[in-house]
Amino acid sequence: MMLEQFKQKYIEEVNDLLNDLEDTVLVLEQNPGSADGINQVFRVMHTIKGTAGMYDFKTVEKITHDVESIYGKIRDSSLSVSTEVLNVTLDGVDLIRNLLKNGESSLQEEVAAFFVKLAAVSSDSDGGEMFSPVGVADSGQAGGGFVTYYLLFEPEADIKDRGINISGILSDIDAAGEGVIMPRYRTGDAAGKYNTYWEAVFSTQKSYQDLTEIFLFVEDEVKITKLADGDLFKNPDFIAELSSLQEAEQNYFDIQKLAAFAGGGKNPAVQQPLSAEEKPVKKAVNKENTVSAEEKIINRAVAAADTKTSSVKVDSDKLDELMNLVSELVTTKAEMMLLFEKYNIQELGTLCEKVDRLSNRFKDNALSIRLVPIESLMLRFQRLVRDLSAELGKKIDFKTDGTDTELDKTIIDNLSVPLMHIIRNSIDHGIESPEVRLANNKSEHGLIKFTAFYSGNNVFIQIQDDGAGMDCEALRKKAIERGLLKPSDNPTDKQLMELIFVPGFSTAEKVTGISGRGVGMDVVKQNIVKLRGEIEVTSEKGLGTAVTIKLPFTLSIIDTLLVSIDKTLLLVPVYMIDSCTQITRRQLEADNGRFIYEGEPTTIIDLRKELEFSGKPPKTEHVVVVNYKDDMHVGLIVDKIIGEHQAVLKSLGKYFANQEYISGGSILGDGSIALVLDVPKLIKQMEKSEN
Amino acid sequence: MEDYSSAIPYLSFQLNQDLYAYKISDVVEVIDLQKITVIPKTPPYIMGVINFRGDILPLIDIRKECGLNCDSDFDVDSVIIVLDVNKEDSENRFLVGSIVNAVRDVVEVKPVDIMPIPNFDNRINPEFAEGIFKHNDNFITVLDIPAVFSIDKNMQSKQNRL
Repeated sequence: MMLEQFKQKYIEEVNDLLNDLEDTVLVLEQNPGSADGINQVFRVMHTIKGTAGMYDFKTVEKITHDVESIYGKIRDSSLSVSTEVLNVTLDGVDLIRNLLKNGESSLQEEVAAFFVKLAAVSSDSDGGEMFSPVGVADSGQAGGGFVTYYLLFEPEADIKDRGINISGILSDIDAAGEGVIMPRYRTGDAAGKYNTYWEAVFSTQKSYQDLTEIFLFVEDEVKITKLADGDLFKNPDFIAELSSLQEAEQNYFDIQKLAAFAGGGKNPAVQQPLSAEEKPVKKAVNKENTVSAEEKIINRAVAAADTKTSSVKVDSDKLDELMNLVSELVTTKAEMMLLFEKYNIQELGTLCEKVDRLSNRFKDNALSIRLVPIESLMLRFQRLVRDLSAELGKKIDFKTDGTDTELDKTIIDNLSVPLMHIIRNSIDHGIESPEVRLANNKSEHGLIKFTAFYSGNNVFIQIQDDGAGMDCEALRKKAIERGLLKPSDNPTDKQLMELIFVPGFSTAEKVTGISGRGVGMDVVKQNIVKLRGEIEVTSEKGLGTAVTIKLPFTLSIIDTLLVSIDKTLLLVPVYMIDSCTQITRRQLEADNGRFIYEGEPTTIIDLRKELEFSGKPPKTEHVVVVNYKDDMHVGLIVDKIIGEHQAVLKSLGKYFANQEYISGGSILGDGSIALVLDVPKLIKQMEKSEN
Repeated sequence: MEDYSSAIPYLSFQLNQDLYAYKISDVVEVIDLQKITVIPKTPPYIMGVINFRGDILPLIDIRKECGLNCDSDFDVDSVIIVLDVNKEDSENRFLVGSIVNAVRDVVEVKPVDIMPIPNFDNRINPEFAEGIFKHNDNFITVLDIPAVFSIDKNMQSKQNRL
């Protein structure tokens, strides 16, 4: 059970890492020379590999190992980043995801195919010796996998200011293998160097790459030299020589002397010239001093990955629970306020104010925890654009702006599918093939732009493409064909655009595997409406299409107007309300059940009747005018308007799933429950009964 | 499997003059009667919703739901038993309040001592009861919580009403 839990955690973690990795691969595609990008892939693969074995994910271990090897080669400049390499990396990412999800025994064919592809990529540079068959562990070099290294760590004087933990590095060296570490103190003045340096001689089974990882941040201050393949510490003469060197108190070990033991060890190791193995870590980085724009993006991505370590992953159930507790606190606070008003104790009043302030901050804070940047969706979209455009033979750039805009987690989760659909439409129908674009005097590369921004209490998301746009004439023809329009109708372009949200309406001339089946935009709209959002399409033939989505910040808290009928408290979302006025029964009857709003006779819904309240209406009632679909208004008649209420929305539970007029409840300060009116449903119901 | 020889605790309560019991492992808490918010246009057995520590719970009058005797009314001494329905099934799990006239006591009963509802007992439809047992000269009916509070059944009866 425990192991299962850890395993689950591991899978979650790997999925996060893979997401970051996909990001990096996509940037690498733009800038294949990015050393940081290559290192990032290498590191992620390495991290996944490290724990995969522990949870018995042997195939995952193997995949990560082999991909890591490829990037190791790239790092050493013996292989270069090519589309094939990136493709196979992404294949690997997908494969790992699926293996973790479905278990290792699944997908054997895919795994086999993957290794074939991988071997092909690797053998571009050499015989593919990196790829041992599945199941055979990578035994490294000769000598039972042991290599004896000499290591010199000479920190710069500012090492401590850079926040580097020297003792951490030393204990990592110690843990890496068996051997000795010698601190050396500088006596004279060594320009710009730290007053101590360390020498170490040790044997290890770890690869050279693993070792370099210890020195990620101090790579320029470390020199690793291979003394010999095999474990020299098995040779007593070597140990004797080593201790005599230690006592000799020279400034540095005599490497030549130590290396001479390479041939004489118990393990007949291959002799290798030292100088060949001595190389600075991360050659590639040093080569490139100029930092390109893409490089900066990667740096930022890496930095983002670093900041992630300071964040905590929380089960969303716990967040819901936190929200519950917060609203309970708010309720308790209100109870306390009532008590104060009753007894009027000064001290209690001061205390109440304090609790009030605290609970307000607590509430804001709890709400903000639920907010997630829209950035978290981008990766999926980038991948979609990349894969789909390649498949369709189109050239498309995907640009994003304002992806740090935050939305409630529930909204983000529910946005992924509709946004995906819109982008897919842009790729498939919007952007033309390169030939067509060139013929139309457009750049060969199409552009899809994703923009997000705040405005008031809303978040706007815009997806624009510079493709062919929609043809209003074609829309019109199609609509007539479908019987949605009469040939005599003369709709505006805007009304024509609205047609794409009608179920089953699609103008794509041929249905592709990707889109054009006419399911989609209507579902997109439904999803957005469910999130209390709005969607609009504008398009110009030949220039492109823009889809704009307007969304509320958060679903769990909305501004409402508190009204009542008899003793029942009802809430109407403020964003729907246009205005409120008083009205009498007599007036209503005089106007024949209609209500004049802004000079227009407006339909009213008598909530008292509609909701079957038994009591008598008061003399003067109130009309809450709600805005419904563009410029249509409906008046809701209630007894009293009490005031504004910031409602923490709660579900009424399964018992009320079929309830037609109430979409939820909210607990007020005094603990009583107010019901949230489902205005769109009410109006729909009314329209139905009118027909 | 259930061990038929060891006793299981039940919470017995009174509805009108009759005694019933819920398995205590399904009972979350017993609370005093509190302000009930009536939901318009719901079937009569749904009395409304209550605020249970910040959660909104439906309050059910099982007399109306199970067709029991409805002679006496609930008063200030009535209490609400909060139940955790379908505890084992996270998909369908929910909390519900069951209003009763009074809670009596906790009774330990061996499963072997719970008898099927006799045919002549027409006070309750057997589909809502697990059985009946005798305690201090009283007969106590053990209610089948998932059956009583099944949502499907509610939907169905709702449809029948329409």
